[in-house]
This record gives sequence, C-alpha cells and structure tokens, in this order.
Amino acid sequence: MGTTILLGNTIHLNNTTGTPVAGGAASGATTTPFVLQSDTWSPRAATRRPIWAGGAPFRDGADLLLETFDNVAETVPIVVQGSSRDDAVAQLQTLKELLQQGGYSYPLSLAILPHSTTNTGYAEIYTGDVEEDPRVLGSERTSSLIRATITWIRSPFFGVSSLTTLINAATFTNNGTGANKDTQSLGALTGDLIYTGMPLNIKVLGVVGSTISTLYAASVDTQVYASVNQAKTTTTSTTYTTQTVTLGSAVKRGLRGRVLGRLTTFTNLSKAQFKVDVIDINGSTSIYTSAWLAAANATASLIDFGDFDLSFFRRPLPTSIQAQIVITIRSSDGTSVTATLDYVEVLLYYDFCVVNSGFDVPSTIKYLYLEGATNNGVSPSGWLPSSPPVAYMARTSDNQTFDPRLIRGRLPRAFSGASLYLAWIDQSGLHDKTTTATITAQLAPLYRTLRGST
Amino acid sequence: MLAPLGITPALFAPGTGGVPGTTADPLLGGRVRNRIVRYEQAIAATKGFESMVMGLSATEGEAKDWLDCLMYSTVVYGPDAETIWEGALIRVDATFGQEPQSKALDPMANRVRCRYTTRLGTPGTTALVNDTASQAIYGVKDTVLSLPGSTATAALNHATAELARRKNPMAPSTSEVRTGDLGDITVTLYFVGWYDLLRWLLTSNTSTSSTATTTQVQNLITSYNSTNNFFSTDFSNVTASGISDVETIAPDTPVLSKIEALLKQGNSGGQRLAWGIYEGRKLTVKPWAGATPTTTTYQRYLREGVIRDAAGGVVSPWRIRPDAMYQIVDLLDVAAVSTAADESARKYVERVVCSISSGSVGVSLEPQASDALDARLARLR
Repeated sequence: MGTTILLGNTIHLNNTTGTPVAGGAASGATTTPFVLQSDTWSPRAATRRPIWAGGAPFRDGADLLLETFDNVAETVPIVVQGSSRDDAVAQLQTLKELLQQGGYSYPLSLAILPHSTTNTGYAEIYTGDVEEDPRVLGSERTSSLIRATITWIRSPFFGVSSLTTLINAATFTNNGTGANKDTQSLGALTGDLIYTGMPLNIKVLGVVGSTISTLYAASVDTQVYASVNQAKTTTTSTTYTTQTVTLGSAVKRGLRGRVLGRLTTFTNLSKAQFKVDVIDINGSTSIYTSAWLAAANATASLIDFGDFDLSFFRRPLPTSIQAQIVITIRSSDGTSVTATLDYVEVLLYYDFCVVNSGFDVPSTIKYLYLEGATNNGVSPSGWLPSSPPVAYMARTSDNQTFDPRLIRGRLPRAFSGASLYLAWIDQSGLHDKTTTATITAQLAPLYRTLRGST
Repeated sequence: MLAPLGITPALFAPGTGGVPGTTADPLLGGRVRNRIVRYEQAIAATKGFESMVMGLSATEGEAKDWLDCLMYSTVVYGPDAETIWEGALIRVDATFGQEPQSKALDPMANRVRCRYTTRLGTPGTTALVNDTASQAIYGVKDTVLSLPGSTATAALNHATAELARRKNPMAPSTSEVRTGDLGDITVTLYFVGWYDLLRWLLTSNTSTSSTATTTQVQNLITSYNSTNNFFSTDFSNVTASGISDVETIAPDTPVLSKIEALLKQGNSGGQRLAWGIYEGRKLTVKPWAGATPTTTTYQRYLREGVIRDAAGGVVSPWRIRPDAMYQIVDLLDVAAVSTAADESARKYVERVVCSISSGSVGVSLEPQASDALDARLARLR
C-alpha cells in the first residue's frame, strides 16, 4: 500500500493501491482517481531562517542568535484518471476548489500517513492551485488521464490530531517546596522539536477559597528553592542573609535566569522596596541587579525580580555551578519598614510569561486556558502552534470561552527535560502558599516532515 | 533563546480625557503580535521612552479600524515579560494600495487662545476656547495664536475658527492617483513616549521664589496631571538635584520647556542630569552615566554582533537603555582621559534605537553629538 495523502478530509491525492480508479470516489484511499506521479514528491522540511551575529573579518564563523521557520512551498505532481475526459477535468476542478477553501471557510488540512508507518501527520495548507500538464492539449489530448501539478503553501510543521497529555489533572501548590510544589516535570516528549520547543496547552482549574489574579507560568530546566525565613527592619536599607544557590552542573544555552522572592509580614508596605543582586560565588561581582520593586500585599507577596543572562555561569567547572542571591530591603522615605523574606526561588527557564487572569471562585465553573496550540476546531486536523498564543477563560460545563487575557512574555513551551512552573497571586496581591490548583498540560508535538511510531 | 521574538504590545483604550486605560485589550494585542512586520523603538537619555513605530500587515477592515485608535496607549513587553517601551499612539498611516489614509494628533489643538495687539500696540489675550468633546477623548492639547494689529473680537474669532479647524485629529497624508501597481494594504502605527505629551499643555508662573529644580519638576507634573492625568506621581526614581532656581515661567510656555530648562542645569556636583519618563509613566532623574565614565554599562567585542553587560551577560537589543557607558573591549584605550565620557574605545550613549524587521535585529547606540539625521531632529523637538 502506498502513502495516504488526504486533503481537507475530502480528497485522497494518492490511491494507496498505486493505481487510480477511473471515475472513482476521491474520498476513499483505494477508490480515488488521483495518484502521485512516481517518486516525484515527499514533504519538504521548512527552511530555517537564522539570524547570525558577528563574523569576518573579526572572527571565524558567526553566532546563531535567532531562528524561525518559513512556510513551505511545494510542488506535487499528480495524475487523475477520469471515467472520461470531462470527468477527469471535473475531478481537477473539485481539487482546485478545495485548495481555495483555507482562506474561505476553515483551515485546509493535509494529512500524510506514509506507507508502513503508524501515525498521521497534519499540516495546514494556506493557499494552493492546480495546473494541468501541457500534454493535456497535445499528445494526451484524447486521454481521460490528465497529468497535473499541485502547488501549495503550507505550515512549517506537521502536527498530530490529538494532544499528548503530559500532566493530567495534577495538583500544583502555590509553594516552591513540599509535595505537589509549584514546579513539576513535563515528562518525556515526542516530536521533532524537543530541543527547539513545542507548544503546550495548559488548563488551570481554579483555586478553592482564593483567586488567581496574576499567574506566572514558565517552562524551566532548574528550579532552586532557598528557605530564608528572616525578618528585617530598616529606615534606610539592609540585606537579608546571602543565599548560595546551586545552578547545576552545566547551564544550557537556551536558558535565562530569574529570581522570585516571597515576602511576608510587612509594616509600612507602601514604603518598602526590594531589589535582588545575583553575585558571583566569591561575593565580589554583581552579575545582575534588579530595579527597586514594591510589594503588593502586606500579608504575603511574591515579587518577580526579573531575568538575567546566564553566560557568565556557562563555565567548565569540576563541581556544580553556584551563585549568591542577595535581597535588599529599603525604605523609600526613611519610614521604618519591616518584612520577612520567606523564601527565594531561582528559575533557569526557557520561557516565562505573566497572565493577568482575573480568575475567581467558585473554581468549579470556570477555568483558565493557556493555549499554545490550536486545531482551529477542525477535526481531524493537526494541532499546530497558535499564533499568537492566547489565554482565556472557559466554562467547565460546555467549554464556552470568554474573557480573553493578555499574555506578557512567552507562553511556556515543552523542551526536553523541562518542568512546568506555576505561581499565582490573588486580586489583593496576596501570595497564599497553601492554595492549590488542578493543572493539565498537553503537548502538541511537531514534526518537520514525516511522523513515525510516536 | 532560539525562537520567534515574541514581542507583545499590550494596547489600552483611552479613558475619559485620554487617560491611559488599565485593562489591556488582549484581542487587539494579539492581532498586533500576529501582524507585525517591522518594529523600531527609540529611547533617549533626556526623554526616556521617545518614540516607537510598528509596521503591520492588515486586511482592509483592520486598517480602517486602526485609524480610529489614536491615543491608545501601549506597553510593549519583551519575550521575558519585561517592559521594553511605553507610550501613546499619536499617528496612524494606512495605505490601501495607492491610497494613503492617515490621522494624527500632532496638528490637533482643542484648547486655543489668541494673543493680540491693538493698532496702538496694547497687548491682550482672549479667553480660552475649548472643545470639550475632543478633550474628553484625547485630553487637553493647547495652542496659542498670534494676531498683531487687531482687536479682541477679531482675536476671539480667530481662536474660534482655528479651534474648529484643529479640534479633531487631522490627516497629514496626500492622496495620489497614478497608473501602475496599486500596492498592498499596510498600516504604520506611530507612538510617542509619554514625555512628549508634556508639550501639550502651556503654563505660566509669576512666582519669583527659588525652589529646588527637581521639586519644581515634580510640581509641574503633578499640576499637569490635574488637567491631563497621564503621569505617575511616584517620584521615587528622582534623585534630588541639590540646586534651586526661580519658579517664574513666562506665559504660554510648554510644561516640557520649563522642565527641560530646569533639569539641564544639572546638579550640585556640577554634573549633567539624565531624565525621562520610563516604566509606569514614572519620572526618572539621575546624574548622567558620563559622570563616572570608567564605569562600563555595556561592552562589545568587535568579533560579536551582540552587546554584553558589565558582567559579560548578553543584553537583548530591545533592552538596551541610554544614559550608559559603552566600551569596545578589543580596543585598548591606553591613554584614556579618566573624566572623558567619549574616548577612543568608549562613549556615552545618549539615545538608543532598536530596529527589528524580517531577517534583522539591531540596535544603534547614538552618542551625545550624533550626526544622524533622526537624532538631530529628535534633539530639535
């Protein structure tokens, strides 16, 4: 049997018996009048579009800064065997009409199942056309077999028809440590882009007794938790005890660093400001200093101190790489301020975003959905990257969506070995580390060309 | 990170009086992110967020919608959720094939007065003529007219007529009809930083009291907010200058002009100041980085196409800020003058322009005396 190539769930472009059926039904893999011309086509890999930095005459080579993938333009030679010449032309007309559908009604899917493989890959065709071979008016002018060439432009990747569940209704606690903490592994991934990043759809089923007003979400390689539990009072500025954190044996190139701190039990909240210094292990050089930041809630606040480059830490060391984290509290006007630094988290992350969700109780009737992939509601078709990723609320009863939300930053994608980090604060800015949320994270594996057994 | 850039412009509809909204429109933001083909932002050491231009592809309907979005505010977030730029939409250019359509706030004025002199040379001023409908949408934008050798009535007529002409946004683009390719549908959005809007209001002050310059600046912004509530009154990022000046302001002086007149006097240490409106529409005033020119903010190796911070960390082009010392590491500056901001291998960064387009991400770091045309124009504004 040959490769199954199904366009728009309507037309099989390649009769899997290898022989087109004259005047046959195009909707059947073995009855279709279409067949690929022999050995003329297989899916092309999307062209990479890199952005390089540096180069001659100052150095050898150049550094890869960014890379994206172009849409794929392909030419597919086919044959259609009509029951008559009119029938062959009519079959091609149907194909021509279908190829225009993507911009008219709903996305046009291209499903490919290679011979002797298990799984179908789905791309999306944005535009396409069909042109008959010149022989149709020449040497084959009497034949009911017409050769033609399809040209289409499709999505860079192939997706799958069903998302892969990586985290299934797991409990996440709004706490950097303990059981069901805020960082949990995504597990093993499938797809061709496990080192480039593949989209995740994350469903957050709410928090009983609290709200999620702002959600922090990240795909992380390493989460470091440091318990401090130290109170400081000052009218000027003072630092909490320096935390030495271990960043791992090697810091991957795709990662950035980020520091978040949980502060509690404030006096004169509005006058208190905080900053972080990420310092080398010798305590001599600051690698990163944040701006002075305010806290939002006098009971407990989570402060995102921002992100920093990790180049300095990418060194071939015989032992694990360490850094020092120093958090400073100051008074903005000389008023005495107090706050307890509960804990510090350092994230080495791939993607990080902030979503202002406005999500509220009762959690049983709505959830927050972070959507990195979509199939545009067409089935069967591929789950492909949603551009741009979206966040919205949905009713648990019927999945009706409402209340779209802004995503600041980059929605977490799945990377090999990565974990999902989630933390949240409520509408008063309270970071309640006892609250939990039920999380489901699903992967949309992406393939560059053919898909095999996974 | 090897991935699409993920620049996210959050867009906020203006509230009454042009006050920036607080709830971002996620659908509009998503549309921008999906359509953006060109992005350029400028930040200056004596303005803060200066200007930003976004080029978008669009359908006919979307392009038309954008023409009604003047005074929308934006906060642009980088891929790590960091704020990289803030400002307000003051001009929209849309091209529908050959046909350009545009709307701009620059020529608009919705509060007008006319200064005149009589035939005998006696000066006078009309009352303010207002268009409250326009003010409710965009905020108050002043202009003052001049009419020599006339009368109070004529001056008032002049102010009234000019208000009628300029009370709404105006179209600066010229239509042309010609043969040949009609072209595409495109949209270009022009934003200015909030600092630029300080020129919208005119002010005066007869006080001859001497007050600290930075205190006067804070007072001017607080006063500005009582008419156009555009700015944060959190002045925690203002470093006191330690010097004073008289409060006197000549009639019909833009608020911006007085602020610049005060801040360019520097500080009690005899150093120049850097200032601007940055994140959260907050004023920042501080001694310029050129006061300590050997303290490197950014460094660059000639062999690289990236900028690094003092610790060697790579800084994304959209995160580079002005008022910084920039050092070329490879050039050994053996005889550098320790107090010179600009030396053979280093310079003071006065203005930063980050440009992103298909196939290119770059940043230009302009010195104090940049001869680039847009830098010179920016200095004139």
